[in-house]
Amino acid sequence: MIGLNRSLEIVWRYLPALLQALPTTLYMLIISVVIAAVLGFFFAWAKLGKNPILKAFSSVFISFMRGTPMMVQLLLIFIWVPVICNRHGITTSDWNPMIYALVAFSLNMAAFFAEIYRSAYMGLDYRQIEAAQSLGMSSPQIFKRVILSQGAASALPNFTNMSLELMKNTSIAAIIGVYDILGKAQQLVKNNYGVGQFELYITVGVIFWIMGLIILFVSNLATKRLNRGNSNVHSGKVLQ
Amino acid sequence: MEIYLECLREVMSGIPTTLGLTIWSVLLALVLGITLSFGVLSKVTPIRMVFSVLCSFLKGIPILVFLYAFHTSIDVIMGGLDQIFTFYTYDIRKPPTFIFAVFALALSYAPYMCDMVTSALGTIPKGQWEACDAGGFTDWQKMTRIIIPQSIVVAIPNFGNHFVNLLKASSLSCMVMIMEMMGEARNYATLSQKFLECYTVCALCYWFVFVVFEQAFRMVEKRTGRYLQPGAQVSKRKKIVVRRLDTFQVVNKEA
Repeated sequence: MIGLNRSLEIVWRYLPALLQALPTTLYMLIISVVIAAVLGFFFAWAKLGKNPILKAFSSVFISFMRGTPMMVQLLLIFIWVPVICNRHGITTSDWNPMIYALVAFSLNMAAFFAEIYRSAYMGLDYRQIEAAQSLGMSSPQIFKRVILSQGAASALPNFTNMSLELMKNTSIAAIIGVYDILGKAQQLVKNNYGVGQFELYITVGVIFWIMGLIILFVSNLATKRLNRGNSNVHSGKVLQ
Repeated sequence: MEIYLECLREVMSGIPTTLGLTIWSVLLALVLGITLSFGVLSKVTPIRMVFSVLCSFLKGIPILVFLYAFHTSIDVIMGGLDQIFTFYTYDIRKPPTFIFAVFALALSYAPYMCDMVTSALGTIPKGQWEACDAGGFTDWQKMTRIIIPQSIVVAIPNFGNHFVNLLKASSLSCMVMIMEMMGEARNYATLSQKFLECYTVCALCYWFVFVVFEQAFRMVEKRTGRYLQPGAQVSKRKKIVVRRLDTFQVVNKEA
């Protein structure tokens, strides 16, 4: 019992310090998901389109981003971007390392999102698009009324899953000097010469879990709302 | 050019460790996932709830947390078990780094494997379970002859995804001093101060291994999924299967 009390005391004492690093994680997560969501549209469009150069480019890009670990991508961007910038006369020495992390995360996520969008598009019934064309809708209208309204519902669960993966992966950014919750916990552990390390790591895990649950809850509500007109989808199955 | 070749040799020397880490942890995760799926599919409500929460908890924790927690406090965790194994001369509090890295990777992928198993079982039509019961099959016969052969075919694309994801995730174990591909690359980069070249070579190596495994799994998928696409109906039939999978999968394979 004494051990448990001591553990709780350690957790209670360092929780504010850990929560101080929470905005870093959320900031990285939100900014890179937003950028990636937009970029992903471009890559999905390029891969589905007819232009062979764009198609080849986006295929190679997606394959590379899916095929290499996040850590390698982070380090590559952390080294490549300053080299390229310095060659063009831009000094990068006063940049926040967060920028590299954002670039790496959003490029990585863009590839995954492009795949998700593409599979959502392929899952659509093509006859509906043909019907819309025969009714004389313009392509923006078709995109908005037929593709987006149905595709969003089928893409959203996968989209959320990938965002949760990113949330867990943001802790890798510690290797280029962006300290999120896990990085903070590690700093604390090193400052204390390893006292209470296990408790701190468990606390970090629980914080990540709670964040994930909140995101999942919001996404489930959104999916339910997007699926409200669709009689084919048994909502329980999608939300599983 | 020489530096690239030198670096390539260094990174290649880490490939066996990476593959060993991946394969052992995928097998362990599969076993754990099947165990979890028994709990999740259980008919007893409290057991089901406990296992669902456990799954969601394991899914919500980054792999790095597992790795760091095991790395720094494995002796605290195993210290409790130490009394049981006193007859054994091996010091259980200090297992090799490789073993707990395998456990960390497997623990964080077990819930995904559990999802894979449950969703594969969910795709078997209910009529087939009932037909087996009506035909007088025992439970064992029902599972081994009807349900499992069909659900394996459904599970293979998912399994391939998790396998290559684990391959990528195994690069994280260089943070706890395991010399796999990433670790060798970092080591050589700091030794030679040629960061750019080393990491580029490392990325290309990972990409190569990824593509090899992806294509291998695609071939296995085609071979096992043969019966799903008889003759002329290939594209139509395949599309239906893929779309059904889409609702469950985390990351989709190409159709």
